[in-house]
Amino acid sequence: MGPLLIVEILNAFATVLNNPKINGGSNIPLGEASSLLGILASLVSQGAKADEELKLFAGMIKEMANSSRAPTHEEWSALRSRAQAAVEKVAETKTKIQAKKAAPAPKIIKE
Amino acid sequence: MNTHQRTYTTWVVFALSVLVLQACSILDPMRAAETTEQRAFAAYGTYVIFVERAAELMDSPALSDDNKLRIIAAVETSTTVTGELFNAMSEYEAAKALLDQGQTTEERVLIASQNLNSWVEKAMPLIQNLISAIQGAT
Repeated sequence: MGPLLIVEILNAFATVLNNPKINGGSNIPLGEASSLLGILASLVSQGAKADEELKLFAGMIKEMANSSRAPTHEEWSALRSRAQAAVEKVAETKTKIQAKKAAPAPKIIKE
Repeated sequence: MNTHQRTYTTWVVFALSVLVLQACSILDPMRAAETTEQRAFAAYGTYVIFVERAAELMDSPALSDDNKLRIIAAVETSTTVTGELFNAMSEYEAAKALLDQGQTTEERVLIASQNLNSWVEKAMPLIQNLISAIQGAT
């Protein structure tokens, strides 16, 4: 069973749980379970994406090895650009989280 | 635990097992590489694939800020070393070009190759650490 099929199954399961017509006897609120499964499906989906990319990349390296070819300057530059874009986004998130943590907590007004 | 909870728990365990199984294929690009240049490219490319996953996870509402900060720390340490790996690759390419023009010795190319190889060795555990941080958070 491939990861993509599992994602489909999790999504289907989340959709079923989200259906108000089948509110059974579960202790887990249906909305919460559905939301958790949706998140789980998206995380598995990202894992599946990385897995697929790794397989494609391994195929590319294998082809290089079979033809005794060195990676070209353009191939290196393409990877470098992708890395820089991703690192920038991660750095932006760090700045946002740090700003959020540094912000003073809202005052609770007691009546 | 009622039937709904059991079913739900089963799916969660099943999905987590899939994530663990996916971790087993991480080293495939490195296994396929034969030369120092190919190994360096495989290591850097694996880093790129996972740093992009890390960037996507930054938008995930499922992750707490603390989990995101753990991933960010792993990205930062692996980025420093893979940056050095990239520089070592550039030096190796430059040394080879000079050798082709007869302007340097084979010894200098060999030193550049050994330097590149040492950065690959330094980068691999940090890339693995990045992968673990991402998979641990998910």
